[in-house]
Amino acid sequence: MSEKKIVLKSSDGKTIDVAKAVALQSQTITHMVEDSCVGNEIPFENVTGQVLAKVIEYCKKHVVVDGETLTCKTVAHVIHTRTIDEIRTFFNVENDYTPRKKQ
Amino acid sequence: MVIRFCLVKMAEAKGAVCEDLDMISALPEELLLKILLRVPIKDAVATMILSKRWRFIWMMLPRLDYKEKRYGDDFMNDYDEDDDDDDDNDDDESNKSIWWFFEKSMELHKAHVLTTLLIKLGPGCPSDADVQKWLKKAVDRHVRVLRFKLCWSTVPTGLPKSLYTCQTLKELTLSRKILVDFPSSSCLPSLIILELFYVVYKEDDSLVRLLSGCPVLEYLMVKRNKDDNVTKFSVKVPSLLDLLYSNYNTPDDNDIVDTGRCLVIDTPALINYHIADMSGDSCSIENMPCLESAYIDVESFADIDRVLTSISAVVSLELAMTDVLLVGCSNINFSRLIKLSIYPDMSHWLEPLLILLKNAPKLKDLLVDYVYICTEDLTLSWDQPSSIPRCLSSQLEIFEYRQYRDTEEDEEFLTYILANSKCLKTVTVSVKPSFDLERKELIIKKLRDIPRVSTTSQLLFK
Repeated sequence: MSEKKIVLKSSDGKTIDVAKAVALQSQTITHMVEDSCVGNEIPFENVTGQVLAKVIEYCKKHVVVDGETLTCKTVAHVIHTRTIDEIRTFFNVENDYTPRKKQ
Repeated sequence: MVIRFCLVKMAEAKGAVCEDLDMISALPEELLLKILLRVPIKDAVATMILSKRWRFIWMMLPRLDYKEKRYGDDFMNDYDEDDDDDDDNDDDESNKSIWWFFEKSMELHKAHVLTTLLIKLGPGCPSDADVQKWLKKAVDRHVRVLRFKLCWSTVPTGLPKSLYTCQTLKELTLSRKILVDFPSSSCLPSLIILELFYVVYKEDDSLVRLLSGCPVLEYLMVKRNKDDNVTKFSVKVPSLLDLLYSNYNTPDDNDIVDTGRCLVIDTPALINYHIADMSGDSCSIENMPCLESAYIDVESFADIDRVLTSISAVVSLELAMTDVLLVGCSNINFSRLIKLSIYPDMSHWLEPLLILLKNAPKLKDLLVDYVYICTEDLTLSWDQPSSIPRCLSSQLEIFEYRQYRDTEEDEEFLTYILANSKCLKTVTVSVKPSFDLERKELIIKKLRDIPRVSTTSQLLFK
């Protein structure tokens, strides 16, 4: 059984498979994972399947946004610390400006 | 490489198709702007030559932050203003002012909305620079946050008329060579934060008109210039919650004694004020029923009783203790006071302090800072009061002593506090910085031996 997946079980018996990294975006889920050591299945006695699904949807979006922020910061760093030519090389940006005619 | 993988994934998530290997140009404009917002303005503008795709991207930035390169010493810094050192990484290709870059880039900038514009122009800025033109452009582009610092060598500049009636402006900072001349038609309906640092005013009324035109102003910070053409500095703002005022211009010896200069504060909704005034101008404070905290370091008051009434219900109080204030404080009942910081400015402050403590039954946190006392041999004789102030025996939890001088009197006072504060949790002592390490060690050792009635209290040294 993969250690990277968690199974969340709602009060009405529905189960949702979720990547661990995604599920842990939620503090509540993190606490429950820490508390209940029953294999990989986490019961949510007070939460219906519908609500649980929405929570997971949010968590998935959250992970992507974090990745986005990290990448923005890194690209920004590259732009700040390198010359234009170096930036072009780094990201493979093609210089499609037509050179000015020498006068 | 991780970054490249992430970039491809991000682009794909937004629906872009990465056929060629160019990692970043395919990203949607919204994302590229997010990236450029994290980059100093010069680097952001430089991206326009990366490729055709990049030519107009930076021009859509909603936030522009121009700061002058350093010139070696500190004059570009006003004490409390933040300055980041991002642009110090530039080589000194030229000591040219940022003005020309600012002007050219503002010309090209295209975004329909410019929410934030931060400009600092140093002494290298040419005296014929048309600064008003660009301020006007910011107003036209619905600016919300505008911070403008001008240090050129010529006379203060006026401001564009449209700025006086800017509907979108929420935060405004004006600093140095700027002439504040607001007409009676001024209206800044969204302004919440206003900072006036060492600016010059056309006359007293210029300030009055400016403040009258700010119906929702909540925060005002003023740093006074010596000759700013204001005799009566009047702060009358019904909506104001926070006021920070400083005037460190001490009068010259040959100044006329009674100049009629004064500071008048009428802000009935105020929650917090911080007033430091060394100028000798008389200070008048109207009632403030909502006041929670105050910092007062003022030499001269028009009506000391009013001031004392204004602070009687505060929860937190910081006082530079002058004779005048002290005498007054002994008659006030500080019924809600929980945190008190005092900066004694005179000898014989211990007895009045103890009277104050008697009048502050709920005090939990006391700080004594000797920063203003210079003479080593100031003798403070004091008689211990007949009864111990109630706050010491039942409330005081935190006590801090700064610039501890290791005199007999200091030790006596500290001993008194430690012997009588039954609820004390932490005691922090910072010794005068001029003492050498050896002496500090000796003092620390001595202080650790002083008996403490609260056995669970901690003694810390800074």
